[in-house]
This record gives sequence, structure tokens and C-alpha cells, in this order.
Amino acid sequence: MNSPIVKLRTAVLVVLCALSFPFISSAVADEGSKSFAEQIATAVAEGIMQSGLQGDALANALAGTATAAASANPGAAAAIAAAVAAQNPGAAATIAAAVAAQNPGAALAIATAVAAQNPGAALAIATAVAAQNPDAKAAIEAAVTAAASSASSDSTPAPQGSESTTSNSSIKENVVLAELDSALNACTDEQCRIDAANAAAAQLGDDPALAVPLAREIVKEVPEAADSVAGIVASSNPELSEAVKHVVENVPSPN
Amino acid sequence: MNVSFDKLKVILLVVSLGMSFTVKADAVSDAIIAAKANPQNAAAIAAATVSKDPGAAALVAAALAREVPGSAADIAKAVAAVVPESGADITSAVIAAVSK
Repeated sequence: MNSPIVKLRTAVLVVLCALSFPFISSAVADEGSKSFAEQIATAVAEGIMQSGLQGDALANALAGTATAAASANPGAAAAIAAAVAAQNPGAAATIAAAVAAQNPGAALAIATAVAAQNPGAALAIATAVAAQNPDAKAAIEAAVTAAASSASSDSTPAPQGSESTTSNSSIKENVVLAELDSALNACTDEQCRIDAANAAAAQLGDDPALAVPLAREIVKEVPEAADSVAGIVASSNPELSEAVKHVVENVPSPN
Repeated sequence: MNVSFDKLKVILLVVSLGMSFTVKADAVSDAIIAAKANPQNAAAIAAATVSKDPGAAALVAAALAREVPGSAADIAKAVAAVVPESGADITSAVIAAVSK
């Protein structure tokens, strides 16, 4: 039979173990908001960068690292891809494409997250990820464009998608903006300008490739219509609602 | 006792594989013992072990990360710096080892 002292010692031991568990857990699993998979992928990517590896071998090693970590924690695929790409922006497109190929359902989020960190490589990222997911090409290009334009200076023109998309979008954009200008010239009050902007936004319809850049142009012309334009564009392109809202809110006011 | 040449080759292959595995296991065991005795140097121990046997990169990283989970990221980084082309294997192995 156990003596009271032995029981007390056991109880103290159990309490000490329980108290130490949170510290061990936090050290092992997560020191902040990063998942453990993201922490390890980032550390390995740092090691790879220190190794002196170059060129395609470097890009492939980083992409493999990101893919392995995303495989262990698919829910953090976008964050992992962005964290690894941050170590070598030159390999961002390769990394984003590799992780997106493994997680097609998260391709949009992956492309957006990586492009937000590497706005200069937005076109390459969009092209590489869209090649893995041709069905979502327009949405990926639009989301990447939005992320890149939000991340970079507002004065920087937003990157465009493929040549055919750019061409078609440009024609439509020019037509819509020309009609808007014409309508605005006939306006004498603010409500008329807002109505004209809303009408221009409504012409966009379900066109993810054009939604963000054109919403931005419309709001540049009619800043007072920012909220209504964002609402109209987002209602037709719900997957871009956050991006549209962010871009519209950050359109520089005309001087 | 009659032993054909083919059988002899198979026996030699098995013996050499066994020896290779034993050497690798010994290296990992030594690294684990060293890391347990000196956890703050676990990453350096991992890098030194792997530099002698790059093929054991993922194995060593996982074993040491399991022993010193608080240094898992440092261990993974140090090993990846020595064997960068095994980055994917190192990542998978370390995550699996510490997450278990």
C-alpha cells in the first residue's frame, strides 16, 4: 500500500508534468500563428538558401520542400507556399505552381498568397498556376492581379493575364470606360455620376479577368461611387469580393 | 558443403547491405546520444552527422528532431543546408517525427 508521502510525491509529479506540457507544446508546435509545417518548411528553405544551390536545382528543392510541407498540412498550403517563396522570390512561380498542382482546390488561394508577397512576379505566378488549373485560369489571373496591385504601390499598373485575355479585356474595358466618360460629361450632379458609375460596373457582369482592374478605373473616375461599384462588381464575381473591396478602397483620390 | 557462385553473390549482397545499415544505424544512434547529452547543439550534431552520410539526411533530421523537438526547425535548417536537394524528404520526415 502506498504511503501518504508517496501519494503526495506522485501528485506533485503529475502537477509538474501538467504545468510543463503547455510550454513543451508551444515550443514544438507553434510559437505564433504559423503552423508547425510552415515553420519547418521555412527553416528548410532557409537552409537550402544557405547551401549555395543555384538555378533550377534551387527552385526545385524549394518547391519540393513547400510541397512536402503542404502535403502534411493541406489547410496551410497557401501560407506554406508564400513562406517558402519569400526565401527566393525568383522561384515564386515554380513554388506556387508545384504546391497548386498538389492542391488544385486551393490554387486560387496559393496564387494569391504568393503574388501578394511577390507583386513583381505576379504575371509569372498567375501563368504558372493557371497552367495547372486551366478551368480556373480567369479567376486565378484576376485574383493574382488584385493581390499584386494591392501589395504594390497604387500607382503601379496592375499586371494582366494571357495575351488573349488581355486583348479581350482591353476592348471591353475601353468600351465601358468610353461610355462612362460620355455619361459623366452629361451629368450635372453627384447622383447622376454615381448612377453612371453603377451602370458601368453593371456592364462588367461575370468577368473575373476584368472585374478588379475595371472597378478600379471606374472608382478613379467617380470616387463617390466606390461602395456601390464594389458591391455591384462583387455581386457578379463573389469569389473576388474581398479583392474588389480592398482595391476600390485604396484607389488614390484624383489630384 | 556446395555453395554456387550465384548464392555466394546473394549472400555477399545481403551481408554488405546489412553492414551498410548497421553503420548508418550506428551513426544515427551516436548522433542521438550526442544530441541528448547536448541538446543545444543538436543542429550542429545533425549537420556533422549528415555531412559524413548525406544519404541519411532525412533519417538523421527526423531522429534528432524527435529527441529534441524544441530544436526541430534548427535541425531541419542545418541538415537542409548540407543536403539541400533532400529538402522535401527532410521536411516530410521532421514534420512526421515531431507530429507523432
